[in-house]
Amino acid sequence: MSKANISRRGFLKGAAAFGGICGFPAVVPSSVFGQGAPSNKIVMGAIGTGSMGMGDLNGFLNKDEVRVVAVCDVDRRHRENAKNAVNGKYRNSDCGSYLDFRELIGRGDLDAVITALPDHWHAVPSVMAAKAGLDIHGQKPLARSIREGRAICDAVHRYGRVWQTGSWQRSVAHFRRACELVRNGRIGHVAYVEVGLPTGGTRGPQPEIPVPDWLDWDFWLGPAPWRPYCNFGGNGCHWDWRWIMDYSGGQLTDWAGHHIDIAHWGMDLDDTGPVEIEGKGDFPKNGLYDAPPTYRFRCKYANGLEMVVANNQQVPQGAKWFGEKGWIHVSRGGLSASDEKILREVIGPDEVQLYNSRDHLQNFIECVKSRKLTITPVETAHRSISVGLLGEIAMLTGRKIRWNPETEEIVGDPAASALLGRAYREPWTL
Amino acid sequence: MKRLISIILAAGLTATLASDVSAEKISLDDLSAWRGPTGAWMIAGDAVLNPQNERQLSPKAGKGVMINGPSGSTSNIITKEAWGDVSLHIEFVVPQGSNSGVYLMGRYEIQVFDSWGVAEPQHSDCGGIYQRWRNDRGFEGRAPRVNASKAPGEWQSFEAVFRAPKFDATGRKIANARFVEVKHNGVLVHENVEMTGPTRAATWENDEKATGPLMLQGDHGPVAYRNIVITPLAPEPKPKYPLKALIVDGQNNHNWKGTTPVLKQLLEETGLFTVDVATTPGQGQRMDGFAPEFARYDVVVSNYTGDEWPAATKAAFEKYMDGGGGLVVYHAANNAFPNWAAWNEMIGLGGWGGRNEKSGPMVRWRNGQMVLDHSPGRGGSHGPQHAFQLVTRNNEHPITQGLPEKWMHASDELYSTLRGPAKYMTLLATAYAAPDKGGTSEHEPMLFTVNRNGGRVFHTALGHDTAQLKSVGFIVTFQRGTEWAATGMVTQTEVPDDFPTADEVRLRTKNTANVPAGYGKEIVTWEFDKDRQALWAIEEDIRTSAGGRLLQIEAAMVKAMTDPSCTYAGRQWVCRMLRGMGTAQSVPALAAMLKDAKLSHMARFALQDMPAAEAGAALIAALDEVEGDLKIGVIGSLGLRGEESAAAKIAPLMQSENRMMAEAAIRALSHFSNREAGMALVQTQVAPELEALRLDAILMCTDTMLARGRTEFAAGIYERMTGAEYPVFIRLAAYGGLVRARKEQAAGTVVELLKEENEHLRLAAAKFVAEMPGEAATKAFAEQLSSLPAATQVVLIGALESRGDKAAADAVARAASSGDEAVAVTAVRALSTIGDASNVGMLAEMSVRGGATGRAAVDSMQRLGGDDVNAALAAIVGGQSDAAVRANVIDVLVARRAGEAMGALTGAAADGDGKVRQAAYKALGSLGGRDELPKLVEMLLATRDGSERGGIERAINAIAPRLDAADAGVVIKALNRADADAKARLLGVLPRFGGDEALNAVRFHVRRSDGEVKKAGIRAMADWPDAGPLQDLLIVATNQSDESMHVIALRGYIKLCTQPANRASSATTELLAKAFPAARRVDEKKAVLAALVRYPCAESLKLAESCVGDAALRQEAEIAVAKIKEALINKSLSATASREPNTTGNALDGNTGTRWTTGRPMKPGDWFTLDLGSEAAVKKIILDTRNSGNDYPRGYEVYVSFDGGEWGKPVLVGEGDNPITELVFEKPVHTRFIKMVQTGSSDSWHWSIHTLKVEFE
Repeated sequence: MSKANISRRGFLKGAAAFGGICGFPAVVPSSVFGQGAPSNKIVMGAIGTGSMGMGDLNGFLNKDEVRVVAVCDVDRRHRENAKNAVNGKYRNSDCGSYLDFRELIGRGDLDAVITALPDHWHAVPSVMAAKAGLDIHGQKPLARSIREGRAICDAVHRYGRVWQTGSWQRSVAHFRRACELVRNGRIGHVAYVEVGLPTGGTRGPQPEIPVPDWLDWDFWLGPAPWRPYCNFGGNGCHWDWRWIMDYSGGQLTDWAGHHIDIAHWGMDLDDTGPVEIEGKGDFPKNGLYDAPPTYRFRCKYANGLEMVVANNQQVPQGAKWFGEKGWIHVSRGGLSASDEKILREVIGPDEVQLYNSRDHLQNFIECVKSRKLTITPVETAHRSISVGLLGEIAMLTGRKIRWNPETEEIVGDPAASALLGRAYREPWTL
Repeated sequence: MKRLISIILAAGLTATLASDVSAEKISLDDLSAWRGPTGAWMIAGDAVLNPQNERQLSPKAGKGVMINGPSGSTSNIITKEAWGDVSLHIEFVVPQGSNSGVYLMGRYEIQVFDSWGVAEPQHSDCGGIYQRWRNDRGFEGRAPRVNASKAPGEWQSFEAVFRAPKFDATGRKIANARFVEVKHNGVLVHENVEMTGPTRAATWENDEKATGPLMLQGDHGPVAYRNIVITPLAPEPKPKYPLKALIVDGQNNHNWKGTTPVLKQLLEETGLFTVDVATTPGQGQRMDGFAPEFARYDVVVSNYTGDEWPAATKAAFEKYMDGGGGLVVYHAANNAFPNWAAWNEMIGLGGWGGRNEKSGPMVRWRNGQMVLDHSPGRGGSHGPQHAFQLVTRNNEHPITQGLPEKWMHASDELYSTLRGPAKYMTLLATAYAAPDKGGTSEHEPMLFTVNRNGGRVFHTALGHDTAQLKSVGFIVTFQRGTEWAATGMVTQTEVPDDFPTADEVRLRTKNTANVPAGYGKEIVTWEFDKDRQALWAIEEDIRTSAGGRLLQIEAAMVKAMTDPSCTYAGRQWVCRMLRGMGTAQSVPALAAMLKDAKLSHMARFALQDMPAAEAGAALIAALDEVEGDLKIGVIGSLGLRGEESAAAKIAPLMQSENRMMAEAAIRALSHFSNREAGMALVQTQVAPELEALRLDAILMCTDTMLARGRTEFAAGIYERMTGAEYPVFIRLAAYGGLVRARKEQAAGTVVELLKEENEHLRLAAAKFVAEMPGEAATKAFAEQLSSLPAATQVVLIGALESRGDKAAADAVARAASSGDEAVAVTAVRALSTIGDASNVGMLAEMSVRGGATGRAAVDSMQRLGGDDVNAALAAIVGGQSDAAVRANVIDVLVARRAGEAMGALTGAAADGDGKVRQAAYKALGSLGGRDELPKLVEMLLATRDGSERGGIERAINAIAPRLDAADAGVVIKALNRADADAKARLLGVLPRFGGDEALNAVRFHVRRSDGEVKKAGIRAMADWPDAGPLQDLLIVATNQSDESMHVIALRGYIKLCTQPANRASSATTELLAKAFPAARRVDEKKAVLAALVRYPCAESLKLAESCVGDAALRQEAEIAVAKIKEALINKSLSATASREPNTTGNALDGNTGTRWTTGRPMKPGDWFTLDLGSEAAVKKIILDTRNSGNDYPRGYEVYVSFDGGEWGKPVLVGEGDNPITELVFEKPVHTRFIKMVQTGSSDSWHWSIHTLKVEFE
């Protein structure tokens, strides 16, 4: 095989002899690396094509370097919609569509997958894709539990996969700017950070209703505990699963992957975590939703840094670092500081320069080619959501949690440790 | 670590030691048993008093005796061997007045002294246990019970039974060192004496260990020793848990019926005790039958004061205590039995019941030590209840170990003037009885221990009623103290998070009460669509409960779950709860559910991560009882639980025809790392489509083995799996493992991988290069660089840069000259990280090449680290290289802000090359300072070339703002020597300095010059940083006939009028009004109108209105009138603040439900500034914080300003003590801006303003 003909999938060629975990390819696809011909494209599949999934899918469909060949959803309407979008883009009818993600991963011709699923469905497909040698663009938060997040990290690391999380704020200039100013000491030593996230809501008890014919409800539930189908919010089980703790942790775990992620970036804490977590959530007293709409917890890091995470009625939304010489606050609304002068500061060439990505999805594509770490690699995503999940455990137990970020164990509280993972509903295993 | 091992060994060898105790006599035939240097110590046959000097010993020839030399002053001597628990026999002889000591473990001294004939021996007399020493004070010495000394020159003996201190696995001390007994010349002089630490002048005075050598003191006087026999003791039997505690109550002038159940609960919740209660008959009733079997208990807790116990009961209690029993004296229990002598010795101190000076002394802490106060007076008193601070006086005792030095106790009676024998006491904590709380002004003992005969007593004076028993300080010391009294040990070494601080009382808020009958009955009927408030209440209850209550809630939930009528939803909910709190008691019910198709998952939800071992056993048992999906689920949970003993059962399932079952089995084994799992994974043939998963599982197992330190074994497996017969992604993972296992030894493997044809392996190799440790590895990689294809070189250089190891710098520097541009650019960029000053020359030369390489070289020079990089760059500037190179390097020095290169840059300003000179001017402007200014001024005068002067002028302009007004002198002086062009340029610089001297120079030239110089002077005035030239500009504007000079002057005048000057609006209006008659064009008049709007007042309104009639100005005038009126009429308030500036509107909206707040506890310096919109006379400002009652400013300073720029001194200073703070000015203050600065602080309360009202005159 000459160098020019190395297939992106060629590295998996040997796997053909083994059949493959999900049916490794018997035939090497024609995708070729770096020559500009149509077959040089990164071949992708999309798992989960609801509102978030379609956003990601359309983003990648607009990239010339990408060819999407398969889509998957347990909602037939989502599936058809995505398939039509792909076929419409390429003006053909080639797009494969699947209800079961295992079949999509098992196609054997993919280089990468994008996943946009409810949080409780993040770990199984991600680990499976990594072990099948695929690169992954996955939505935040990385996982529903810390044990799941570690399993994803391990699989991605073990097989040298490229991972990007949808924490796109890192690819936005003013967020990077805020973090560079903090990292380079423009507000002096920082001992206190505030992270404000949105406030959630509640919903009354909901009657059981028949499962619609377009939905595979049992598959949607997957590893989560069984419950009868009901209307979660405006759109069946879609979107509003966010407020039910079997599937997500509410606004806290939704947004931890954004603003805690940015707070960590500004403090160079991407590879570690807090050592103490303590706080209180106002768990709804009644109704369908059980994630706390309002919450506040405090994290202490080994270096003495204290971070308060709370909903935006208690601290302003975004990340706000308080230093000896002033503060810097960043949110999607922009960047502000205790003194305008701070914002005019120039970062010199010999100072800390953070990873510069201006186009989040493009960064993923480039890294799939170069095999470098993306702007939001898997370990970073894991550490960002771990803070939210530890906050959740501290609030659920009503106790201060001691955390060892090296071993990722809760210290001296076996009962709280039980909340680090969850048993999957059979036949799913991790 | 050593200590830990020795404890484990000791524990493991208990049986052996117990049957094989061997006495060891230290040979005194020579000094070989002792560590060197042994000083003057010598072996003799005997030691007798020197007949010439009875203060000295004379040796006799022979062996078996050791003497500390002729002078009696040499080093101490220490055995080579170390021991823990021992019995010791030792004989010694001292001459008259001499002094020595026997230190067990080198730390705990039995005093050797000539105490013959001393009537009342002290701790410093022979046979005493010497005192400890801290902060220049002694404490805790123990006098011998009797003086058993013989005359000087006579051989004497000690027999000691000694227990070493004990430590837990983390190294924390759990039991004190203890002299079980000491006999002096056969007479018992000590029994059961605990040592909280080493005594004075020990070899190791600041640490304690599990073993230590014997040390004999040799530097205090002549002494001789012989017959040293050390017998290691078998370890003491471990206490039997749970410990049995007995609380005695029945009479007490306190709420014993309330406190006893709480005390019981506090002991039970530790998990260490079972508790019985013995209640006496009531007051005045017959006490005959009260005879608890004390001997059945490890500890007795007394919550009793009242009638005397029967004599037989008292005798039984004394016997129990003397035989090693434990007693906890709780608060008023020390009022009991004022006439029972043994009791009073046990409790150390007591109060009331007629106690007075005859009962014994008071114990106080004075001048850093415990003292006995024998002054007369009643025993026992206290003032009104109040919260008070305890001071830990000894934190080496296991009871107080780790506690803060100072901690608050809840409002309680502070027991004072307690009196008693106060023998055998170890004081742990005191509290200051403040006179303003009816106290004694003394530090009174609150917590202490008494070791009397064989017994252990813990005495706490705290805890008047149940409210005080919530105080965490009481709880922790009570729980620890009771364990110590029972066993001599404290295994509860953790200090809980909610322990009080020096200034904050902490109460246990967790609910520990029993749950009522029928608790949780709502669970049984709950459905998914029903109200879940009752379940929420249980969830919240779990979060706020502790101890036995949690177990009761669990039991109630399990009861509901196992109710045959319980709904599915109810059972599911219980399993969710059990996940975070389930214990062994719920396992049987959950185990039964594992077999239920609908409930099996939820049972595993609770069992999978449950700490109890029973949960794992239940899952293993279920393996044989379930099939299909349920079995798959159980296998999955066993895997994640790490139940490795299930490996043998799971292994055959790898071959199951059910594919999900086989997958689950492989995954489960991948989480194990025992031999069975590993062998099964390696040896079992699986379906082809599962082969990749099997290999993945082998890799996971191997990763675990590596993490557990089985490095070589793991490396062997990884190595085999790198073979070409495996899929590339498996090989890639195996290489990763190999690199982690072999570390730098894997460098060769990685080098080979770099040459791989497969791109993924090559790129992975680069990652390994970046991560592998060691300089040797760097060299191995660097050596390969030139032999690799260009594309691989790019990758490798990037990886070498990531390593940050300078050992690769030479190889990378060579690659920088590569013909391949991508290689060259990558190498040049990498040098910024791994290069140093030696690469500067090459980079500088490359910087002029242009293109990507040139840009990279400039970039690299800018980022290059190292102390001497700037010096190297400066050398190039002064060197012979190409002019373009020098110009580039000058730019780099600017980017690097290299102030130390100033000499070279100044030199470069005289360079022969124009581009270099311009670069140098720019650099001097950027980096220069006071020293460079005169040089630049001289340069300006020295040249006539316009572009040179332009560059120099820009540099001076750049420097000036960094200097002071006084520095302008250099420029002013130069004006005299300057030609017209230079004068104009220099005048233009002066506004950057400002100041009177500069302004006078400008005035001079405006008056005396003409043409461009005069114009430059007027422009300088117009640019002036303050209002200094205001009148000058008006005069010029009025009188100057030259149109352009007139315009410059008038525009400058208007601008200067609007600079901040803290001037009233009317005054500024008056100044602006003067511009009107001077103005010759309508443009300037419009400019005045635009400026007026910023100064709303009656005068400015009048002035604007007067312009409405002028057709040319009407439009602007009408706008100005409208805006000024708006500001005057609406008095629109706005505000800004130091914190949360976006929410200041909440304080101004008149709504008391919204607020502005600092969002953090009050700190001095937070401010809130009001802008009234226009000037007004303010009488009063009212800050209303009633809806956050404590958030009023503790202190404040109020400042006023017309322009919000200058504030001057505060006009009002005060302190807040009320949710409504009224800021009342002495007389109305005329102002526009008002700044309120908070000057107080609070640990918990924010500063908030719900509504703010301003009252105007």
